[in-house]
Amino acid sequence: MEGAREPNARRRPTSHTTVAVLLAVAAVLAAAIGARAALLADEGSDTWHGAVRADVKAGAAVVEDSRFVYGEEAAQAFQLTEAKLRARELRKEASDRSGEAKALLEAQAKEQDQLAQTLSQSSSVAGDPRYAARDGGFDAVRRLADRRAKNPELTRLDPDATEKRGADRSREASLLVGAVVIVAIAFLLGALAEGFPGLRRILVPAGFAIAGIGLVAALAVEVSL
Amino acid sequence: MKDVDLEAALPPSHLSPRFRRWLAVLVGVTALSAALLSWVESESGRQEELAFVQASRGGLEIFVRLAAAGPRTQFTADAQRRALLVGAGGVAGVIAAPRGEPFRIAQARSAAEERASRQLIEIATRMGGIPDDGAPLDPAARKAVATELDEFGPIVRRQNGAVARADRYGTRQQRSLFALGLVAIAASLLGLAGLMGDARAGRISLVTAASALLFALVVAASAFVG
Repeated sequence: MEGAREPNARRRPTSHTTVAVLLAVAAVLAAAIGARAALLADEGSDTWHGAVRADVKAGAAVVEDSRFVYGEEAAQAFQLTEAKLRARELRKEASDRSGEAKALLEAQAKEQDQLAQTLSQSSSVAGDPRYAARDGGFDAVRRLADRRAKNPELTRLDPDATEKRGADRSREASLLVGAVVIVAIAFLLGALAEGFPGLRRILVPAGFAIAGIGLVAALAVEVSL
Repeated sequence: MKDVDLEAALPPSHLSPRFRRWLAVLVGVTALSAALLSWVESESGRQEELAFVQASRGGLEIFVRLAAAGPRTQFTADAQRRALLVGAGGVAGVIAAPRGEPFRIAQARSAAEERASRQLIEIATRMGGIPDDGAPLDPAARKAVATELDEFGPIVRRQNGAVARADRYGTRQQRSLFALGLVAIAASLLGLAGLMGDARAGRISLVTAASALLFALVVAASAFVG
């Protein structure tokens, strides 16, 4: 009798085997989706760190450019403007005077001219007509813009976009872990099928269906994001 | 002497239908709890890291805006002070000048310097002015250089909010991790219960596993309270 039953048993899997297959499928699916989620989470994390690095780089460039333009170049340009203005006003005042007063005021104006000349020679930017403001003085904003344009790779940095990219990757990882929860329901049904043999006919196909839904959900996450 | 396979020598474990049902339910719930807690842990970790990144970037933004706007405001203040000194120098010359021709020369000089001073104040204000939207500057530089003091309040509040969020999600992540550990213990106990069968030891294992599972869920739920 035993010998006669054995070939049939080999051909058709027993219900225990089906449950075992369901549990194994659920476990393997959960592990595979979990591994992919871990990779994506790592990628998202790295991208976020990249956003911080980009922010540091971009911020340092802005700070240095602002310090250089306003702290050094604009200060020198203002001294130059001051010398030129004082020379002009002294000369204007001298033109209304005569004698010793005129000579003294003109001498002081000349002194300011010389100072302006020295300042112009010491800075290529302070006296550059490109940065001469319409109402007098120095166009610091234009100068800052030109200085920023020298390093386009720094002005193109967009830490917000990098952070968003990282958030997308990370959200994808989280959704994949959500798909693992669906697969875990399949595992639950498989386990229940083992404990409640009477419901096995319903629980096992439902378990396979839910495992399939979990797989489809994971693929949908992978494709859509 | 004959070799004995110890595993084969052990009596097969007996599982009553009731014990089997409990074991099956608990195994299933354990698997589901593990997946759910993994999701909570992963999501909390993700939110915590994002909040930390935003907090770091917020701190950086505060520093960059302070450091980038500082030279502009400092320049304006220095240049205006310098312009005032030009006018004050002329007046001081008048006060110090003796009567007669030197006094008249000092007056003439003072008049010239006062005019220059007024123009210089205007120029200093324009040079250190806030770049407007039409300025040929890239947005990051414009925003940083144009920062004014009243803008820091919202940035600081946003940054502090990110730190608080990181703290909240960090607690959630730690508790879900602890709960996951408890679920792992429950799973081990359930395996042991399955091996021991419906004997006293098996039942103790089963009850302990159920308790560990329940405790794990309570711990995980506590992370969402408060």
